[in-house]
Amino acid sequence: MTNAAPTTGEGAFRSLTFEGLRHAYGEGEDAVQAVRDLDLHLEAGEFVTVLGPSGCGKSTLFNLASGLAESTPGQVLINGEPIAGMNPHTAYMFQHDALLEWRTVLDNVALGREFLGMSKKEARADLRDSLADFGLEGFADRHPAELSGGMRQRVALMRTYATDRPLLLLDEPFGALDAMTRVRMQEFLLRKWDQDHRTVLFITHDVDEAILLGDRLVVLSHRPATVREEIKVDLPRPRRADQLASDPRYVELRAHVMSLLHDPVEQGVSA
Amino acid sequence: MITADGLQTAPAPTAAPGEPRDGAPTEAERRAALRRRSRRRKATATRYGLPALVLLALLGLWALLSVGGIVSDLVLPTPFEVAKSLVDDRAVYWMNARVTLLEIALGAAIGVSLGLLFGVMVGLNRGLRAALYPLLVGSQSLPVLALAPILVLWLGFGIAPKVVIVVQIIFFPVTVATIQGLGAVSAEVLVFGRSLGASAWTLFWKVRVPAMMPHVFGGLKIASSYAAVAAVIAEYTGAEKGLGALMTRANSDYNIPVVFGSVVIVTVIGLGLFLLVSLLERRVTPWARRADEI
Ligand SMILES: Nc1ncnc2c1ncn2[C@@H]1O[C@H](COP(=O)(O)OP(=O)(O)OP(=O)(O)O)[C@@H](O)[C@H]1O
Ligand SMILES: [Mg+2]
Repeated sequence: MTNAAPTTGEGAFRSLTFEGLRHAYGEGEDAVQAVRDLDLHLEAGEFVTVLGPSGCGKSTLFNLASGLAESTPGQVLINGEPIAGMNPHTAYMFQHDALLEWRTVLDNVALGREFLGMSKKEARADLRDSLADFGLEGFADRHPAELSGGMRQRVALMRTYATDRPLLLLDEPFGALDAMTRVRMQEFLLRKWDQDHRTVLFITHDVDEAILLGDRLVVLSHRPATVREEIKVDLPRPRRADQLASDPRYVELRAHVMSLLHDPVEQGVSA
Repeated sequence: MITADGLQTAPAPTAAPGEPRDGAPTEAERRAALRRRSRRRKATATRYGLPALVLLALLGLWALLSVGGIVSDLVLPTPFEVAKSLVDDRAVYWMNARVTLLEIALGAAIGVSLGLLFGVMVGLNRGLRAALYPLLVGSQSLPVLALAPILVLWLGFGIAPKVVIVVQIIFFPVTVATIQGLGAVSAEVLVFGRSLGASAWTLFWKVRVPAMMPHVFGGLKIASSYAAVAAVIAEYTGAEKGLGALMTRANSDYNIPVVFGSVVIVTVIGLGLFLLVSLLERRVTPWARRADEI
């Protein structure tokens, strides 16, 4: 499962487009505009990181992408066609691993597949053997409480991967980890991504993480979120955090992104 | 383990492939597990040993006060008199305890079912919650036990009014715990599930129900410690049989050892219920960390 290419054929996922997305919570005077006039395009296989101030509407953007929230007006398009209802290509992963404490590692990994409607047996079929790919061999029958933070996030990542959905919505997946574990997880994710090039949208608050991981980096404005700038990360892959630190191009990119985030004009815009 | 191209080389003997260093349990982790086990054993000793000591000390104090004649045996029988009564009058105790146990069993079955049902309905429906939750909490200031005589008037001297009281006592903590349990579900798992097309029914059984169980057991424990007392007090207000009836009768006959004997039995029933719920809890929610575990 883990090495399987995203579904091929007619319905295969080729691109994702956001066209003038808008979303508000509440109505009338109390309405909170979370996303406004947001445009973005992703080709299958891209790794795009999304950077934005906290509360600007990043998670809302993901809910629009998955179809859990609706854009009015504006559209989410898959392969150029607007989607109605749920997006059949997405799978989430979150900062708080949201593992089920009563399930073993194996059963947690199978959860996404059970949600997709597979029988328990079918859902677990090849998963036990794949645990090693996520550094979880020998832990199939342990419970989340027995795992380290990094391992828990690998369980969550594997659970998301195991859905075989081609478009991964990773919402600050490593945000709660300590710095060392975080770097390890970043490199781990890059290795995984290198194997089957799923399309990844990756939200983060961390500039270094955004540059290390992404083919492209999307900087969002304060709320309501709109794309301030798209930055191509023209650093060769494979990348390693320790080697990038001294790369002049990396330093340059980093300075640019930091200046965007600290732009005083932009900071006053939140309303 | 990680080469410049970001892929794994052949696995090093100490680390498995794909493993960023913290995969297999290390020596330190194994030792920690052993330490946890021995700590648990010590905790068990503290858990049962200390309370047993305190209990013995209290019994000693009681014996001292009563046998020593510091307190008249008209109001405080000796532990030995009580023990003797428990043995000699066991048929009488059993006949009455049976009735009380039946009231508790019926009340618990109905109260837990209603509490779960109501809790789930209110917990899953925001509108219902807004409308009913404040009323539910407010209803707790109703002096239900004080209403027991009226219940007897309505429902007679049989077990019906006692069952109603037990139901009412159990219903509240179970309902509140269920509502809280449903609220404690990770919103992110629900989002993960919904985005994959999981139905509300699937999410309910696979996520919400197991997640709420530790809370429900918290409520059940509280309920279990009230249930026996509630049944007995309900019996005070008018009953032919039951430990509460036995106590009121013995009290007016100045048969103080029987009063105390009944108290002992009610205590044992209460403890037994609590233990039963705790055992069930371990069975059903072995993963949950319990706050009342030392
Ligand atoms: N269900 C909701 N009802 C009302 N307002 C909401 C809701 N969800 C989010 N909001 C508001 O919309 C705005 C955007 O929220 P969102 O969660 O998308 O931001 P975010 O960028 O993901 O934040 P963070 O950095 O904290 O993860 C915030 O101001 C938030 O308070
Ligand atoms: Mg968010």
